[in-house]
Amino acid sequence: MTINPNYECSSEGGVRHWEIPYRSLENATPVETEAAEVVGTDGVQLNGTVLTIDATLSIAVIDFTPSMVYRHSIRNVLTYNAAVENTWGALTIGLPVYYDNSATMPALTYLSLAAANNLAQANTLFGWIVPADATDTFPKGVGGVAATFEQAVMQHGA
Amino acid sequence: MTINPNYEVSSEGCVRHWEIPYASLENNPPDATEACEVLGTAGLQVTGTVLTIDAGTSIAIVDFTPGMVYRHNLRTVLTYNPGVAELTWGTVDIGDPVYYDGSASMPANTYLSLSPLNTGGTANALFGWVVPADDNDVFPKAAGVAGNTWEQAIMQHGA
Repeated sequence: MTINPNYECSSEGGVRHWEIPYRSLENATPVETEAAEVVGTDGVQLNGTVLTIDATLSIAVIDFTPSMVYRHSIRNVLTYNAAVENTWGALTIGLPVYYDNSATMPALTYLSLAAANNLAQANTLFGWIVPADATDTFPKGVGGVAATFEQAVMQHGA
Repeated sequence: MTINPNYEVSSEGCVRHWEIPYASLENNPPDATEACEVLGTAGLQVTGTVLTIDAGTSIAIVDFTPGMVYRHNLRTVLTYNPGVAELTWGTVDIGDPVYYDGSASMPANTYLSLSPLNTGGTANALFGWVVPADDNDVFPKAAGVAGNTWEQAIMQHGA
């Protein structure tokens, strides 16, 4: 598709893959397939899913396409107290999922059910829980018990 | 593409170009390629980029596609002295949220800033985020002692 270079930077498709330098990501050593968040104002950051990385140039290609569905690790923490996890919930379809940069998150897990991180800073909405397929059963886990699940998430994107 | 007429008005593609009368736009009359905002509740307005205009019918075609990246003029103002003038300015960096800012103090042909509130203290709607236009785009870009206006690639939030 043609692009007018005077003002248009992306093609006209609804899918948006864009290069972001490592230094502009919350996780500055990104890994393919993980959730990513661009450093910015708490609660309104741009986020998406890492497609590829170029370790030489320190650039990641991020899929910012709204409503794309990827499997991600989700921590079921709902709230924090004194910088540690305090309450946990079961996963059900439609629950909002946040990019959570809390130091308490398990390795390679960047999403949770918590609207604020362990320092009480606003987490940005990353997307919503959706069924991966017809055999995906809900709820997952039980309230009050900490757990981490691999879960299909429909991303909010740009 | 099929459209269920009971509830679906647009086709199912992810790209959304839509006609909006001039009278419903914050900037009336609009110009092609500029950022635009549809009149509505402060902070919740739908925003996009003007693709074309029809001066005969006073209708603009606006691209509301989320994730589209366009170059727009971006003012570095962060806060205002309410009702008076720009007060503070910030550097422009990748990931910064960008707002549609209808403040009277904005330079000509500039509708976006880093400020979540306009000069009247009213909420600005989120327009999108700063992204690199290409591999040669250098950041951060200076705030300016009394503000700067940069032509900057913005990934729009859209509808």
